[in-house]
Amino acid sequence: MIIPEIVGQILFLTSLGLLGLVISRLAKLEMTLSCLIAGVIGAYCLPFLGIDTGIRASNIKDLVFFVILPILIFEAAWHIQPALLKRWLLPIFLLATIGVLLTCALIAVGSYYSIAHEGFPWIAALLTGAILSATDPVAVVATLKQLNAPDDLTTLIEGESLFNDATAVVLFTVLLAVATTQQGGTDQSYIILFVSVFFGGIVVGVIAGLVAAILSLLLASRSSATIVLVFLAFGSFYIAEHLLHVSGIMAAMSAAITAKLLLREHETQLLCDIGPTWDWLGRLFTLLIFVLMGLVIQFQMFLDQWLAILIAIAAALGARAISVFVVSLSTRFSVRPVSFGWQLILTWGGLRGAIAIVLVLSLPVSLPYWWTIQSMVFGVVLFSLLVQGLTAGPVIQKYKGQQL
Amino acid sequence: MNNFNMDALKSLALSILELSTLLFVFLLGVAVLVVLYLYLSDVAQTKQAIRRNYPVVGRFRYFFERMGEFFRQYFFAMDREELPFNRAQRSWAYRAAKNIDSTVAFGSTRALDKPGDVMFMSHLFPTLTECAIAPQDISIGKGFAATPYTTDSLFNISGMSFGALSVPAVRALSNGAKKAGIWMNTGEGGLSPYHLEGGCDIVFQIGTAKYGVRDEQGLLSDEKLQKIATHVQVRMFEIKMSQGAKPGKGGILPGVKVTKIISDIRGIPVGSDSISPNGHPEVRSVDDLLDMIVRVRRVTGKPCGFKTVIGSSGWIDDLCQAIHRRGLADAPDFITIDSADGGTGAAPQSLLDFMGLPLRRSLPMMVDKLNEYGLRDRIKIISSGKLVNPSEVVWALCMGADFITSARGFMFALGCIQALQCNKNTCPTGITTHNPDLQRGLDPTDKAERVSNYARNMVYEVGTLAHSCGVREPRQLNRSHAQIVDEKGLPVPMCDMYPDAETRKEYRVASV
Repeated sequence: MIIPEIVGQILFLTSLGLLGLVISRLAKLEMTLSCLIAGVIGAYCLPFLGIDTGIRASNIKDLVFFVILPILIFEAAWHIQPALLKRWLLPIFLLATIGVLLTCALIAVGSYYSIAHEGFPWIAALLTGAILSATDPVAVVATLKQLNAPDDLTTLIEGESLFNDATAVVLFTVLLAVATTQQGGTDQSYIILFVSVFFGGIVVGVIAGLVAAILSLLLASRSSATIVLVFLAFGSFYIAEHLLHVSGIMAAMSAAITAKLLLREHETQLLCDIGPTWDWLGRLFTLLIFVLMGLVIQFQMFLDQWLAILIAIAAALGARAISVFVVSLSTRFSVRPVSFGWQLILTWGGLRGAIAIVLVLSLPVSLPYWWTIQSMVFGVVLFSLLVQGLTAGPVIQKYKGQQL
Repeated sequence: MNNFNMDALKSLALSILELSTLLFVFLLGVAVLVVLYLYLSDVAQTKQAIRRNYPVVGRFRYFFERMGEFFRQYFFAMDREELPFNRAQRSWAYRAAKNIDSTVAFGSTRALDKPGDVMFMSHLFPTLTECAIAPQDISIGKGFAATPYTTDSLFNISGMSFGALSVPAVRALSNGAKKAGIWMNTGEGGLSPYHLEGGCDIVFQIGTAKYGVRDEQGLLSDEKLQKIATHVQVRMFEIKMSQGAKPGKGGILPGVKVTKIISDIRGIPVGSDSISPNGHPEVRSVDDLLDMIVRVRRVTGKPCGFKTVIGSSGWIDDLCQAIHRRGLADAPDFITIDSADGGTGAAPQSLLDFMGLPLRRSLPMMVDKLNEYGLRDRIKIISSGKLVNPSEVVWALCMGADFITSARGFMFALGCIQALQCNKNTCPTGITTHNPDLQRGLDPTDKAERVSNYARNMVYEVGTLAHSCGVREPRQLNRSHAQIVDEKGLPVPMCDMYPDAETRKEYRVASV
């Protein structure tokens, strides 16, 4: 691809994002929803304008995976407060491991047996499960802040979402490897693959974070520290994913946490510019994700696959509820049990958003069932944006104070 | 075959060797990076000069400084060396609380020749077990308050506010006090449901901020006083003039410890420092003080006294004369004397270290003044301040105290390890923190048992000392039963060092 074309695409996407912001401001709609609308508008106007943007489902994959995902994860990891995270580590850890695996399995089982079609094999069901087990609470966190919910609840939700994104992405990557190779390795080799991809990513991330900390201290200026950290976000992901073939998302996440911890003491000298940088980068990339979803979404999808979509919505909600309940049950006798009210908030507030879209957009079109999965995931994302996102407020208001 | 095996083994060993070499090089590389980071980080920071001038190695100083505290306490401090409480004092309290063997062997580790050391005078004919009696009932406010308080408890729980203490600590104290039949002072943080939970007798303390009994203007509210007094458990009211930790300053509860429930009970915003005024605005003279005592007693119908640290002492004469002028009905029912060496709470170090008189000066002074004015029977004396071992309690009884109260002794019973972090919300034993993770360690049921054991063993051992002195019960002890080592290293009778005061002629009638 030639440079002017790429620049044109970026500008086009960004302008749609801005349009989304305008819609959000004027119509007082949720930001992500407005960007989705802007994307849809963009998709309809394109043919009339006679422009070919070159944006196809087939070439979106690498864009979202190598450009958008690292920033989203890095930014989320950067904002986590270590002290609060430590308090809720056990529930978060359980939700992000057992919870994700359980959600994925339940969604797979639910959708496989309800759809019961030979065009939708087990691997497709599992992929759907992995994609839908990542939660994205951007909208919910905004509501939490408006409603003055306790910091503990916000940390629990944010922390859970960050870590379940990570596990879900790793799970997705491994499942995708299985789906694309199709040469039935042993179960053992998949487990080893999962573990090495997972921990390999963490090691790469920690070392990258350490090097970035050294570099920012050496350069000793705010602007260079900002450059180093933005570079770290993309670099750690790229090195891990593309060069070493371990989990890029774990790398980006652990790089963010390591760098933040190591530079903690120099926050006032080096890091005061980085907050705003993540703010705008994170926001821009979230906007872009929803714009992309708007661009590729087609109404045909809902007409063709309405049953699959309904099944996916039911499976996603049910699986989330069950796994939150089971995990909370096991925290029951720990220091910090998760109360029933908070379980409801976790379930209903567990929106599917940017990460789910990123993952589904990165499905290779060579897979025969990609269209079904995409429709299902888009359906669930739309449902959670429109229904869950808009009604999460009252639920949070009612149960936020319920702490065991 | 054998050869083949050898080869396989060889190649396996080689690959392990190779792998560990790689790992070693990798770890070495990481270590170099870490040192590089530490160096740059130390050079770049501006807060610690040592780290800036001696990067990396300078960190050891801070590490050892931090660890030194633990090393000193565990390895290097002698039994009688530490302050505020040395290990000998603490371990007696721990053993009493756990109800385990409290005997020691092979002689005393106490030097017995340092000026100020106390020894009690054993009698040739100690009281036989069958002649010994338990501490007798004493009535406070009899004939003056509608509901006087009669109790036989000698050793009680001094004021520690709810807020300074955690919920489980207050619950353990309340239940333990009930079991041991002693009273518990609420401290100035108001009355919480946790104080009432165990059903023990309660002394309600009215602090300078009047938490729990304040009206909108922050003044004393009769209505709320009455409401507190309707609890049968609440036996007495104590007006706090000053406390040992910070004479001349009001209570301080650091903002980190003001949680939701504390803020509700005290009526202050969450997270902001709770700082009481340093005095009662309506009490500016001894007559004001007596007025307030009379008012509290009238409104509540229960005995009322006040608590103070003694510094300047002219006011004691004024107070006694005012009592005689106004009549005995206006006298406080008790006076709590607090030693000046601090207590549980947060306090500025200079007040803690330098302000006010210690108990060994202020207690005899108060006893003598009351004797001089013939008020000793009317006004009971409660003595508090660092009295955590039987010997200290017996000393106070010899000196003339009617009751002893202790705060920190009971904290040891709760499991306090003297980490000195009461003001930081990081108490490792859960006693003075509102952090639920740390509170988890404190089981109220188990610790209630310890609180009651501690109180009972204390009274038992105080009784043992009293019987050795030849008296039938602890309150019969007087100044002839102790001697105090003087500057030459010789014990001098306590009654010579602190001669009993004669009642002035003009007040002799009144004293009957």
